[in-house]
Amino acid sequence: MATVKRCSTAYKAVFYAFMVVSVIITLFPFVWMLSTSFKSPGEIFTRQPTILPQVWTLAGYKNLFAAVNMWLHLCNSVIYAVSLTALSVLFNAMAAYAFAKLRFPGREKLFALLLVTMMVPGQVTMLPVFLILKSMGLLNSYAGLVLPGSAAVFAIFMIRQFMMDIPEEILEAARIDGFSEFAIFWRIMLPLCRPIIATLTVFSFIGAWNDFLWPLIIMLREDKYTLPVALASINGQYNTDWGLLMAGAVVVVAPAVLVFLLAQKHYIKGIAAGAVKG
Amino acid sequence: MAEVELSNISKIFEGAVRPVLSDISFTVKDTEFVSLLGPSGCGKTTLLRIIAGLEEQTSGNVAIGARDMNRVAPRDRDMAFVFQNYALYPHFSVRDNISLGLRLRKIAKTEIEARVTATAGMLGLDALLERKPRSLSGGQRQRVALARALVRNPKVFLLDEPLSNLDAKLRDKTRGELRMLFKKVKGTVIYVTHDQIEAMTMSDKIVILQDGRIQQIGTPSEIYESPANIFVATFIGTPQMNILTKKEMRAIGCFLTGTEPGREDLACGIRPEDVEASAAPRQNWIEGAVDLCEPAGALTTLTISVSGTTLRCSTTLKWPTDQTSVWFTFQREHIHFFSSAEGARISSGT
Repeated sequence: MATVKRCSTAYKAVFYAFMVVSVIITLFPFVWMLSTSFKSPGEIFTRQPTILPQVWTLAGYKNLFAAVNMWLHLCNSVIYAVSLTALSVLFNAMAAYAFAKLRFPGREKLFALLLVTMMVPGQVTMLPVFLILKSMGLLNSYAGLVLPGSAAVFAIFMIRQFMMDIPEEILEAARIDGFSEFAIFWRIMLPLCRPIIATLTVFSFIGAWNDFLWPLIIMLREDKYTLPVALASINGQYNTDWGLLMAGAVVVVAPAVLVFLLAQKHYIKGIAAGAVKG
Repeated sequence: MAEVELSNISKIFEGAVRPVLSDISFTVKDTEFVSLLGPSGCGKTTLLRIIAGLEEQTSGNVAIGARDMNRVAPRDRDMAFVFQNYALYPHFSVRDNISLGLRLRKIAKTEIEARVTATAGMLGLDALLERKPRSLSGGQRQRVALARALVRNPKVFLLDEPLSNLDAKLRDKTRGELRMLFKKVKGTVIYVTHDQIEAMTMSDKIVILQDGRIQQIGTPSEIYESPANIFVATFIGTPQMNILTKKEMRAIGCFLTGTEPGREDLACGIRPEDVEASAAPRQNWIEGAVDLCEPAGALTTLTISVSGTTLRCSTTLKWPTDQTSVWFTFQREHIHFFSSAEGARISSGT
């Protein structure tokens, strides 16, 4: 008994040590970013760097807001991330509902075809999509920025798997009660899929918020830049103002962290969905 | 309420070789309680789903109150369906679960409130109206599912094994309550079950299905007393009816005379409760050995073997556990005659 207890304690000690090291490795870049954003340029390049600034300064943030129109780019990023998230959740959930719960000829084959498209890298389709949007006159527009990403096969797949676990009888009861098919989707299925919807909302929001390449390609005018693109544009060819850059990085990262924290409760449920019999 | 008429309903699922339902026709009269009874996989739930419009039949007609329902959507059939797993909306309160059907039909708020209160009162759900289904017990959930059906006052109630998820004691109690409830609301009910006790105790009429075909339609007593074939005879009654071939009857020393016994493909059915048993020798009774004695309170079931033939007997006698010999007999009028080749009933012993 004593041996078992000792083994268990030793195991726990190793486990916790491993976890602590992992957390430090994960958090260090964020802490460094935050700390650097409050340091003066001299302190950033000192030979003996400290984790916390010896002299706290908001110079990086002031320079950032002076160098670029941060509110405008922040606004662009919010429009992009929020509208892409809202549209993709709606469209992906609707498609997933059709694939999970509606019966129509060729459903399985169509879904398999959809899955196959996951094998094609996004970069391959960027040029054709760009040309299509150009021919539609949607370059430099929020529609052009948002619409191509508003349906994602991976999200459809995830929601479909979650929906398949919802008993068919609940939908049948709703049909007998008098719900229309859209009402079943909107009032029954979506609320029941809250965990997976929260997960995909986080994925989608963070993905769009951090997205660099697509906004860079589509938004050709500077006033349409999203935050990551604007941030990259202030990076000089020969010199980099690290304080300003880190302040910009903090501004970019903060909303994403906030969204994650807000959706965390449902997010964890969504990640674990299907792991155990409900 | 209304009459339900099924005519020549058949169903073959896509890719299946055999039909799930073949040529099903019967009528459920207004305010009648009809049970669809049969073993698992016999097609009874499929039939109920076809009546509800949740499944489309391959051929045949469903009519409710003389109106053809074949092209009518489930919500427009004016039926209520109680599912085996209740299918409550987990994110809505009990009140919402009960009232949603009425709200979707644009019924006035005051009337909805009155009907929900009355139905909840009838089923003892008053105190649970604001709770979510996950915080209810199995029995309470089952009552919510019933309330959701009752509150709409539909033409027909369809119930798919609603008691199967309850424990034995609660099932026994709910069975009686359910029957009284539907008598009170004068409901036309089609009730699916594989439990013969439920079907026998609750129904005005029973439809027995096997392999997608109707085996017999009748009142519980008709089915028990005059089973149409060997399947029905052995399916209804616990312990099941003894079926002895002509050769086995001779082997136990039972020589029958008359028209039916003259047939070579004869099978004789004797219910265990029609076999009289004695622990003491009786004149002209058949002597057998007790292979198994199963006391179950008021009744004891004996498994008796005579010259390689086995039959079971239910007796009210307090059977001595060390008694290995038994003397038994049965009356000719209690014997049911069947054709062993076709399984069909020939006649009773009288």
